[in-house]
Amino acid sequence: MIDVFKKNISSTLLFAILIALAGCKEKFISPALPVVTGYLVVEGVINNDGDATNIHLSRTTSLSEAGTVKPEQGATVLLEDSLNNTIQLYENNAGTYTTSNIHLDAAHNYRLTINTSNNENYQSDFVKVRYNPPIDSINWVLDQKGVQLFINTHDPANNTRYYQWEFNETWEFHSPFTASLKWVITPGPNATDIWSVENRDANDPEISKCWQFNASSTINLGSSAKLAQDIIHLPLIQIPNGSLKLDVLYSVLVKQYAWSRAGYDFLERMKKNTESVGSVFDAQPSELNGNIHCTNNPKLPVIGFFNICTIRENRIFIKNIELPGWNYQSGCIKGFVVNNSDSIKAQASGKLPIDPKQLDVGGAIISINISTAECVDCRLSGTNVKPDFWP
Amino acid sequence: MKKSCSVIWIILFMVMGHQHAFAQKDSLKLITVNLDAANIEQLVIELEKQTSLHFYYDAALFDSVSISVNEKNQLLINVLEEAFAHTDIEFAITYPDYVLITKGKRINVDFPKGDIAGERMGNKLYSDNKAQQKAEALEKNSPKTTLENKVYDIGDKFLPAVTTNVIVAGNVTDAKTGEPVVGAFLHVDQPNVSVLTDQFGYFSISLPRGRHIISLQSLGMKDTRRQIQLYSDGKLNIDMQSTILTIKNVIISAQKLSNVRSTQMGLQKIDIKTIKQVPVIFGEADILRVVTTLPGVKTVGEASTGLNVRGGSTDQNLILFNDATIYNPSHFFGMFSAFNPEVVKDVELYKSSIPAKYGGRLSSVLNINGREGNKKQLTGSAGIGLLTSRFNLEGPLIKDKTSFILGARSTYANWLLNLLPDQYKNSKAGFYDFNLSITHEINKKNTLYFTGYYSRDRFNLNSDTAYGYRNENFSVKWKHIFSNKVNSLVTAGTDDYSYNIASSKLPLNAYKMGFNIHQNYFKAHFNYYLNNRHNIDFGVNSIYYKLNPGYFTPDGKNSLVIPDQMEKEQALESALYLNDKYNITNALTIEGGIRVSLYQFLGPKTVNTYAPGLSITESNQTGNVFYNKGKLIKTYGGPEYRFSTRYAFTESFSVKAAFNTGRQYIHMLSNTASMAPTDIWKLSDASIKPQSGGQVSLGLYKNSKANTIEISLEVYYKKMSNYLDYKSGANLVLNHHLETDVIATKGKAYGVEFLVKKLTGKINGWFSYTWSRVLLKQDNLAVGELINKGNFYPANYDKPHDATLIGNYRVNHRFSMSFNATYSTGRPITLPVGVFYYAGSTRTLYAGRNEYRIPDYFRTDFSLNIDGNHKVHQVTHNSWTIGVYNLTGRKNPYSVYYVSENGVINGYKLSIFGSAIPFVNFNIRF
Repeated sequence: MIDVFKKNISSTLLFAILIALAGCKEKFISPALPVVTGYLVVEGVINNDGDATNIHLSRTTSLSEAGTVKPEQGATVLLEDSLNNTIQLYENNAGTYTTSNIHLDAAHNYRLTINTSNNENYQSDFVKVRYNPPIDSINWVLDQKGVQLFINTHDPANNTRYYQWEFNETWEFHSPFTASLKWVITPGPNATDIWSVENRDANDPEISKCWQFNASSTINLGSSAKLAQDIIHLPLIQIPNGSLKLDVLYSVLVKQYAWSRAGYDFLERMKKNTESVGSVFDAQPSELNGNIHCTNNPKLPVIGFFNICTIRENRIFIKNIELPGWNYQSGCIKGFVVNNSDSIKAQASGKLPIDPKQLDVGGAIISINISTAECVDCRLSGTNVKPDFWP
Repeated sequence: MKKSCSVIWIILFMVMGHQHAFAQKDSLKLITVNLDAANIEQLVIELEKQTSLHFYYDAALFDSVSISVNEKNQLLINVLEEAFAHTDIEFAITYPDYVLITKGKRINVDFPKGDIAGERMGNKLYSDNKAQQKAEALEKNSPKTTLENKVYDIGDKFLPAVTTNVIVAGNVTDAKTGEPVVGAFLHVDQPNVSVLTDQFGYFSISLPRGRHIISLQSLGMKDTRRQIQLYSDGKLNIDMQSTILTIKNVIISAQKLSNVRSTQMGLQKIDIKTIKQVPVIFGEADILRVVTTLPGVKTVGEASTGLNVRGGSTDQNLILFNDATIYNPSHFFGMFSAFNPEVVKDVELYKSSIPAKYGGRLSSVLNINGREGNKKQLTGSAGIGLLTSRFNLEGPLIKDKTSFILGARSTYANWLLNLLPDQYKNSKAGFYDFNLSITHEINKKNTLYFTGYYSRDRFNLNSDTAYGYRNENFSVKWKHIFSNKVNSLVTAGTDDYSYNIASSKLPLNAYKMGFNIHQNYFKAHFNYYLNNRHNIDFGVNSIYYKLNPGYFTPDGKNSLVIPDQMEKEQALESALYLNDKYNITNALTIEGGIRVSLYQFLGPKTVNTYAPGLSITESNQTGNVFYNKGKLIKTYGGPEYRFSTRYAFTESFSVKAAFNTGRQYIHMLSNTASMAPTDIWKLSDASIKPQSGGQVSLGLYKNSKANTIEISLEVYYKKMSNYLDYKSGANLVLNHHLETDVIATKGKAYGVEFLVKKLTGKINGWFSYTWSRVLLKQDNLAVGELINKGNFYPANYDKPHDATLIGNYRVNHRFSMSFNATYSTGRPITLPVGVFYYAGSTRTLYAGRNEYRIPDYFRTDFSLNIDGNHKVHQVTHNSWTIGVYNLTGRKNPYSVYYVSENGVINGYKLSIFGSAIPFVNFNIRF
């Protein structure tokens, strides 16, 4: 971690300076590369003494197909020990092979074998069951830049040393404008629609209170290899000031994995190859060799590193009231429209009604406050289904 | 007799100082004189009768002198002392047979200490520069003409002719500042002999006795000539007038003939005036950036100063600044080079036939010569630019004997950092450098030079990570002239480079880390000018390295960081060399040199041992062995050959060929594409072998239009072995078994370089074109994974086509315009061959290294140089430089890269100077 950190200091500052100096960054469209890969990608950790284990198998694709995951279906995935006892993992989603209730013996070595539907046989090296200490805590501090979350963990035996974390963030957010009205469209003469408004009621779906999710998409690594004790206190998530994430209630579930040094190196290499900035001070992309090999074609590259540990989890919540001055700006503005079908159709297309702006003496609506749909209906940017862990 | 000495009278009159003339053979005769109230003529007749001495005096001065002397069987000296007692008459006896009688002041015919007694140089009659000044003072109206028309008698005309050829030696100095003129070209037509002055302005030329005209040319100096009448070995010091108007680019290159004539291949020399007129980013004259415009020199990217010379890597260049090795020649991450242009005289780049006196690096020697201070008066200059300002001061400490030059530069780049995104708002960055040189001329034969250099860079990233690096160099040099034929140069010094990083952001992990390399060196160089045919150089070099490969220590009491101190490494690199330049005929010259280098890696050190015959990996480690202090761990060494030859078909056309080999015992460790300040150096050890390489080259040289245009074409082929590359994911910092992470690769490079240069006239400049390739290969499975299946692959700096045009148009004496244009093929990059999904994101997959290229590079720059008025006698001289960098605003790609952002892959093309950038610079001289 510290090495990575050190290297980044110079390159990121330089990068920033260069960009500031009239530098410019443009999208680059790669030339068409006539390379066919289709190598097997193995991701996942055997969750010993934990919940379900998921091993994801997929294939590399060409750059032009980026964004599409090509799952490897119909493979036979086995967990083997050195005495040839096996546990099979079954495909429950395309490319995801699952089992649960795995309790392995720390005294034995285990490996993963995969036979794909096109008869390629893959085998990992034998690995040990790694001890993974529970997460001590996730703490956070508020500073000028926002909220910084830290991961804290330690191994009293000073043995674990190499860690990886993944996280899933969830936050509740509210539509900037709470709507009491909704559009009602009724057929009119000459095949036209008549637009009007009606009050919302309990049968209408929830559009003011929703949840958003975000899963980590970077490789988060940390090591205490250079420290006297196996203690980790590292920044993990940064939530910039005024972010929507903390407008109401925020929660994060952090998963911790323990790795061997070789596995850690593999992930670090992948991180350097794919996440760091492209200044000439960055290391050159290097090849990724894990501990999984194709037995019927040893030259065939395989991406993945087989590992066994107990996946540790920890969830915390942060309430908006704990953050004085957290000022989320939605940027939403209200407009209004006169309450007649033609005006609504002309001026309020793509918008949603909020509430009456002006009523006549009889209580009839003369004009309606309106706003952009995203500012009224939170379902357009999230889900209104409350997660089961939400308080 | 009186008449015959009158020509040299004035000259002799000026040479004074010592108390005693030394007694000579004839003057040791015992004589008896008995005179009463005699005049001087009677005394002289009497003494000349008894000795074979000749007496010289001006009768008019002594017409009223009455001498009484009564001595029996006395030495001449006693007789004369008695005779001239209580008068203001002085005398001097010289070898072999003169007595000089003067009034008031004694003529000094003694020689400074350290002179080689018995050398048949006799009582050389100095036609030294003081005499010339005197002559100038006498004939103020046309001093130059006078000096040029005067015939200087050199040597002793009465000496019997033993050999046909005699040797004239001396110094060429700048008449205005007293600084030596380096690389001045001295030429005699009959016989056709040419020499260049050395780095101290010293020359030695062998000519037949008789009348000669020596013509002199030098950079920035007015051409001049001297007429000499040569009798025997003697001295001739020559002053040259500088061209006063700096804007007037009278760069009569010392090379313009030497380019065709010398045996040296692949030598490029640029003086500071030329460097200053090339437009560069921010208007700061930048030595390294101008060097990159020369054929055969490339860089990885725009903001990096690492040089790749003829396919060599950035660590294969020996960068010498006044003999000091500069390990990191850049400031501000390569935006500026670390040399203050105000204290630099000129730059020489040897990329092919490297002289035998240099060694230790494979690709090139970049020799940056500092200026010596003005010996006559205190002067200085100051400059203000957008990011830096500089100041320099120079002058005599003891007039005409000791001078100093002090240069300083500093930056105020913080305004630039304020333009950065918010997250860097609290950052600070800066650098400064100091140069100090003191030259002390002990006497005509001994000169001492002290040089000090200090540079420092530092910055804070958000005030919690401090980062810095520095160069520190000091040297003492002693030049001694044994005789006209032999001179020596002895240098001792220390060089030091270190960097350090401290971070306190996370108290638990707060650390300090750093790296340091220190070297002490000793060099003794001798030049023996045997005769016109042989010029021999020989000497010895020794460098003692002490390297601290890294430390990592806790910072603060809460830090849990385990202190990690890598064991220091030490080594001694020594070399003996001998080089002979042999002029077989006027047309054919060969130069052969051998340099035998010996490298000893020394204890104390714990050395890891590996199972013999197996690859060096952690799993094959068998243990380790501790070596005590000074104990020899590993020795490498061997001969290095330097051979070159020249055949001149005509006065202006020659063909040259060269072959040279080298060895390099120190390696830079960097797995980044470019040179970074955090790169560390590693000494060859028990497992890591020295790099070695060889080069053959052939060149055609043609001068035309009265030597104003020089054209050259060179081809080369080069091989390198044991060049270090790294295994995937190698950790280079604080690695206690680094040998397991590196792999030795092979490389080959070849190319053609074409250069047309015109350095005189209203329009001057040069155009260079290079076609070259550099390919590397790692095909040994035993040492680690193959790169590109063991095939040759292009190095990062492999840019086949490279063309540069540098032009300057002098509109008038106060106004000139400079322009440059450069084009090169895009550098190789590794593009992703595919994508995969892992850890929540689509990611790129890399395979073949450097199989694609970024788009080609093209840039033009323009600048205007405006000088203030040119009145010589005014307090300050001002000048402005205004210009635009990247005039066309072309977005030249600096890099192309792919990065996974928020789960998807984005490809970016990054241009650093993606628009036209104006700059302004103000300079003042006083």
